[in-house]
Amino acid sequence: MSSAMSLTGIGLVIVATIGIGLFGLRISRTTSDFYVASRAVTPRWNASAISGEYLSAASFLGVAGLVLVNGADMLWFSVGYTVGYLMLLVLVAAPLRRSGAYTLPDFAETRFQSAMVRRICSGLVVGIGTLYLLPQLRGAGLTFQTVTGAPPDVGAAVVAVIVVINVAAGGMRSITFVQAFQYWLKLTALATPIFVILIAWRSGDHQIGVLHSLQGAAAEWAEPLSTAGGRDHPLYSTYSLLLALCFGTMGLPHVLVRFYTNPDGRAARRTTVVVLALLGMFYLFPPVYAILGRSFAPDLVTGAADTVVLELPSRIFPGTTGDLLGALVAAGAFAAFLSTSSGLTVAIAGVIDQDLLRTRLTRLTGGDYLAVNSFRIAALLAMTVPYVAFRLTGALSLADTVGLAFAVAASTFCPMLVLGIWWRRMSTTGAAAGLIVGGVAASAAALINVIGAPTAGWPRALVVQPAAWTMPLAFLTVIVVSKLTPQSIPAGAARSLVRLHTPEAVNVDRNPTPLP
Amino acid sequence: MSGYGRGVFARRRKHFGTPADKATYATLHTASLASPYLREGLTPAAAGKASRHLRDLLGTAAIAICDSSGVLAWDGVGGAYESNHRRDARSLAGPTLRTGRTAVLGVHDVACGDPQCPIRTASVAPIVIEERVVAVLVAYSERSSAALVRATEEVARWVSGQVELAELNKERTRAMEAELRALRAQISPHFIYNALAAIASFVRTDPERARELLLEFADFSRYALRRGGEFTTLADELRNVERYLVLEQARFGERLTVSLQIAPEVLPVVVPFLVVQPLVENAVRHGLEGTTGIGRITIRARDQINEAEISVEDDGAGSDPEVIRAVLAGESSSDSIGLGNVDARLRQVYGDAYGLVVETQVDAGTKVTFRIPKYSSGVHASP
Amino acid sequence: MSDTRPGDPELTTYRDVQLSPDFSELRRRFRRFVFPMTGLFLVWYFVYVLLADYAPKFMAHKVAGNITVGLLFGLGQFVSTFAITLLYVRWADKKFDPDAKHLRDQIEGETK
Repeated sequence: MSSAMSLTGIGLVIVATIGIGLFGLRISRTTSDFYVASRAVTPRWNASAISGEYLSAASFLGVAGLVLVNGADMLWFSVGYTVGYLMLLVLVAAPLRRSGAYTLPDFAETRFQSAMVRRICSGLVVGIGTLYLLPQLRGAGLTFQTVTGAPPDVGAAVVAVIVVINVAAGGMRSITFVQAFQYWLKLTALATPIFVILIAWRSGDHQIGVLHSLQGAAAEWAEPLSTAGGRDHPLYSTYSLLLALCFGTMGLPHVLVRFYTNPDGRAARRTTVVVLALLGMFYLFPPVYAILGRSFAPDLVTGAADTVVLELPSRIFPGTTGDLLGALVAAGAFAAFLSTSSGLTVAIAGVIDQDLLRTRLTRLTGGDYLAVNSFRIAALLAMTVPYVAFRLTGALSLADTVGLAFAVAASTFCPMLVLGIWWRRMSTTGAAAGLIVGGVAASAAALINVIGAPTAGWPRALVVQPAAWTMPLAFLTVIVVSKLTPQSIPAGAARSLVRLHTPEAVNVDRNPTPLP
Repeated sequence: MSGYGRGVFARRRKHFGTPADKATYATLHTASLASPYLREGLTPAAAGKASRHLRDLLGTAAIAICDSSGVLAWDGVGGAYESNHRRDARSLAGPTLRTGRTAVLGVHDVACGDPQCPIRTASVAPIVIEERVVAVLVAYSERSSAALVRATEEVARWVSGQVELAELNKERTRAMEAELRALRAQISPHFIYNALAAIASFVRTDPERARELLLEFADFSRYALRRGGEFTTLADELRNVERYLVLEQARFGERLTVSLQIAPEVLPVVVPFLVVQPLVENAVRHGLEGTTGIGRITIRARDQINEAEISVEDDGAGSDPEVIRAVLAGESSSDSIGLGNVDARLRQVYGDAYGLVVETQVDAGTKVTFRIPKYSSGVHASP
Repeated sequence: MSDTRPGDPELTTYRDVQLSPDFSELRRRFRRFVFPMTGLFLVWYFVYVLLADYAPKFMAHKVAGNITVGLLFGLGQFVSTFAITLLYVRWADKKFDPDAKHLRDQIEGETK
């Protein structure tokens, strides 16, 4: 593939991202039109933004890589993600909005009235965010390497620097417009090569045939849950992964804050439906890449499987077409890293700023600093830890690392949210205990994974996909400890719960019935 | 009988007079003399008046009360000694102000070099309110002793208690004032008069428009005068501002130009109600009333990740920054009173860092900006 | 504004809301719909996984060309998530929201 074209594509994406971030607000929002209602973030926009931010390296490259190696089981990823949003909508979204919380630590503070629980949550946000950022950096390094042959560190460094500059310069405020654009860019980048292939196949002047390709593939690869790909205990692993995806989505820092912008329950529901549709549309394509990859890039099965999406166009269409398509896909991949990394960095930086920096800076400067600067420092810190982790860790499949982030989220924030919202007798001590136990267990598994997981059998399965045991453990801890410490049930818990479950007024402008 | 009574009386008298008792009574009496001044809070005036009695309690050559801005009060030896030591007092107090630990400073740090000066050592004890060191009490003497250090600490602790009481009183007064302010924010007679006058002018010429305007006015009033619940969403606030602008447009027609730059992400943010409209009203007053020509008002709401930043700008007559400063400090009652009201309410809810920031110059327009945290404990859109 | 004094109307409102039979009914209806629905489709997902593991022949049965039952089921999972979401949204819009609004108006009517 042509490095020059790909680099140009990547460059354009970077420029577009930063440009829209910095100037988009001015272009799209300055009018003398009075009407506020027309400006609200509509479900369609919000959904595009959520999807755009959500589709990361794992979705763009990782899923195809996994399907390529392991077969059709890996479609679980797509299903898992979508169920995660459904869980979020049904169990968590509305009560969370009514609580007035913006981030997860905010919810902890308002529900449990405890600064300690809040601090634990902040720490977990940084941890989960780091686990999620790590594969983005790896993916960027991989893409750069595939495109230019540069060592992986270069691509990762490029993304890290650009993200920090973008976030610090304020390019991620008014995030909706930016991330919505990213979604459509990514979809176009991923889908176009497939359509070109289809056209080429239809017009018959090419040797490929999608169905032929399938026939050529090993039969068992197309069967779900086969042990193709050398994974032991596929049943446990799949269950565990499903659990992590279903219940971890609600605990991802950059997902929950997007639901803040929905004005009411109706909008939140609409948004979720559109998100599912957009995600579904997107996830149609990686398996196609994988199927084709089996025939056209079989060397990748045992090599860098995660690059199948990048390599495929030039393998199928040698020459300029392949180069162009390759450039497009590379640009799309970079957009994926940028958007998710930016969204994550913003979420993490927000938490660092609020909980760690503000109080210290006030003490240091006597209240004499600019809010903007503390956020900029926070953005730098938010990216530093993942980058250091990236330099220190070895090769891990993109999707597996992301799965670990989900597992930690499912073992810590899921019990806190679900039980906090639906169970009146949850105590502050119980909440803290659950967060710590779940967090330590899942993080330990993640750490072992990153350093060097056991290579076979049950130990491997348990460590690579820990959610199936860490999540029930966390739930159990919360319940048992809460029952044992009824004296630390937060005062006003009953009132909190009423507030969480009382529906808001439906917003109408001119209404004969009394307004609130 | 009287002999017995006298005897008893005499015995009581003796009890009344042990030196220890006398000392205790003297101490309590002195303390009670100091406390009324401290109830006013730790201002230089109050500290000055109280310090005389505090020095009585300690019996030292001099005492000083310092905070991070400098010496609040000094009592004791005067003249040249005072001015020398006063200068150094702030730096002596530094470590204790930072760490909250009592410090005992010896001849090296304290002595001024003059052999006649009775001040050679100092004990520095912190005055603490709710775990924050707000000031220190410095006791200067010729020689330091454990007893003096202890006494200084005890007096400082007592002073802390008195000042905390003062804070509580102030807190209560603030809460009451806040309620009053919220009530005052709801009604602006100036606006009502002008709006109704404008509507009246349309009744004959364009009755349909007059009717529309009356309905807008009704909606506006209902919002502004609603009972209870201190908070609403920014979206609702801006809707109210729209209604207000529609009404003002009836008055000014083409002269009023409004530009809105609203980031949709901040529309759900919970704000105290009636924080934006008074600012816009102020902008209209200064930008349009009393001037001719077109007045341009720009309302911006930006997303700053953890906060929303809202600003109202006009290109009208502007004001003298000193006047504005006075209004914000609550010292004057000019027609920019809305500004002071909003500023006070914002600071009361979110803290002193979240007040209004006003940039203005005469003939250069005005820009008022404020920030609202997206999440603040205890804040919900009602209920 | 979240700490209340005795006799505070806000506190009374909450207590009224909590105790009112309509509110409890509303919550019960929500729980009655949502929890079983959630349970059912979680079971549906996990059964698929079980089937795939313990009935591989069934899953490998080819339906058309190279497309197996398993693949169809897999896609079906995806489609079913979507369908369930739509079902939930429809139920919420048609049944839950109006009841909630009614309760809301009631509360406001009482406090006005």
